[in-house]
Amino acid sequence: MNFVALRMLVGDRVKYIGIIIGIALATFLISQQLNIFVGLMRSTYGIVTNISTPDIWVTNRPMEDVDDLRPMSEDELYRVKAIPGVLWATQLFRQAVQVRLSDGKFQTCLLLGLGDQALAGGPPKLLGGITINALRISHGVLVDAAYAQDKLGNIKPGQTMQINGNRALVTGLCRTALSFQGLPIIYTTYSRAANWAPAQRHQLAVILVKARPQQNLTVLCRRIEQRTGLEAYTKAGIASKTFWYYMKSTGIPINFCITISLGALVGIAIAGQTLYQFTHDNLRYLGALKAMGATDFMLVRMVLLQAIVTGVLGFGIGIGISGAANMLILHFTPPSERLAVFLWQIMAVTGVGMIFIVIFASLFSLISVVKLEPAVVFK
Amino acid sequence: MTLQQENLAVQCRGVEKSFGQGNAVNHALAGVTLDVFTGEMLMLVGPSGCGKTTLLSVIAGILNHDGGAIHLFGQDLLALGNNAKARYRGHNVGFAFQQFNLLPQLTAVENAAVPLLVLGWSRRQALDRAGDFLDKMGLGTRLKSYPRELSGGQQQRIAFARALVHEPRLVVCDEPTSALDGKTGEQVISLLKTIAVRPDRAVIVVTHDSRIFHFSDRIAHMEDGRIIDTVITGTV
Repeated sequence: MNFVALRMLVGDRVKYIGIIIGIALATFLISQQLNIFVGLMRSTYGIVTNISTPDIWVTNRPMEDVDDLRPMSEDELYRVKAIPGVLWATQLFRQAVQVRLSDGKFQTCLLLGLGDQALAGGPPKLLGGITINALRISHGVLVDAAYAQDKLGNIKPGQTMQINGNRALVTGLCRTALSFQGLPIIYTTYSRAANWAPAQRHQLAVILVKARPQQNLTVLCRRIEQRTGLEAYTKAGIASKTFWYYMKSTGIPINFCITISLGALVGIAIAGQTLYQFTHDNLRYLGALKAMGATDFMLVRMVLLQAIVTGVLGFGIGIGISGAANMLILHFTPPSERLAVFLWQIMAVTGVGMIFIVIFASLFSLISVVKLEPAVVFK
Repeated sequence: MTLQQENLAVQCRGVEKSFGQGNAVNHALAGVTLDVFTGEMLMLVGPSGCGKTTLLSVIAGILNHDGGAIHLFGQDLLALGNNAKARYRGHNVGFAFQQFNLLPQLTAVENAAVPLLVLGWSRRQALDRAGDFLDKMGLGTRLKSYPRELSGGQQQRIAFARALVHEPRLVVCDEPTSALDGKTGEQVISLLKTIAVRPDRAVIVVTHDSRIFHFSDRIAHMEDGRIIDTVITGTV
């Protein structure tokens, strides 16, 4: 009977295409919005991704998100270093600064200062074969390649800019994750950053900690908190805290939720209505099949097969359009603004969502098929 | 042939069926008693609204009756659950409808094969069998045609093939000639008589069409939900 179900479906081309379009549209809307949402939310903890190597972040109290850091006394670094289980600890400077470009324009940037000795916590990827030691060159800074191109006047290694009136020499390019605020990231040494940035009572934004091998990170975090009164997080922990801060304290999830729900609603409305109309138009024939001995189970299976086939095709087309849209976005958006992602996990989540939409959309059809009296064939 | 108890295909005793409630109740069947035997073609005739189609529906097991008893080849259909009844119909009853009810998306041979597919035959076997059947009915050259490409007479022949392809013991036809012109109607009912009527099978035809009465073996007259008389017209 699968064959009969498929022939009935494909034979009514207008409705067949209508159902597929409905599901494809819903898939596109849902996956595209999820792509942007996930990309945006990942950017909220971009700085965590951009500081490599350390296991634990220690910050002053209270800390709501990673962009809301209250600098602390330099003494805290030594207290943290003395805690059992800490292999090494280093400072991280973090402050927004005004950068004057070669064409005279100003750009606000995020200045990150790495502990002078080890330069630990540098960018995740260095370009052009350089090492982190490029920062040891006098006045040296590393800048993100995408930001350098889009927001820093296409600055290249060997060229200079002014940070708060101080000469900074670009000694290399790196690749970093995009940040939520969209500020170009500039890496330099801790002491240089502290000198360049406007003076504050305290300069130390974060203490980056590397744990000893086999040290349980959660246990070490609790130990640091107990002994220093500061807050300590694993890398995943601080990313998660930041993520949930944005989820709870901003309208971002609600807005995306509304758009995603609208996508689902469009899918249910178009696919459900067309599928129901399709089933309704075929009730006479389904009644004939019932009279000829088809059980309710057979007819339900036929309707579900029709729904699943249109669902799979609609989903495939929708995801294809979503992928193409993403490629267009990548093509036309500057690298420093490419927030949208295209992850298999999002495809999987959208796929599961579409299964529910298709089942929901076919519910009314299923009910009408089960309630159908075979005697309808003689009316 | 004589009317023997062992040839009994359908036995109706005091069958009642009502639609609606209260003042709007309509007693479509008001105590129908009727026997239908294998080897005969029985025609149910009567004015519109007298209950012919309702009786055909309850005999075929696609509508439940409210009172009385119906046995189809000894089986009380009311005793079966919905799915068991559907399976029983699938094996034992063939249907031909007034508007043919051929699936427009299927070809002639695919339409004729539907009852076999319902019974779980493989697609290939079902199509082969249906193809042979249509060949016997003179439609061997139109196997791949869609219903819309065929004349009314050809569509009704496919509907008959679909009603017979699974060798049912009872064939029910509702106004099989009403959508056809007189000549075509006679041709298809003649074909039905030739192919469908066999010693082990009963055929019930509901009709208004007096031009085809002479093909029947018996005619049962209905009025106001009752059989008012039965007339032997053939060699039963």
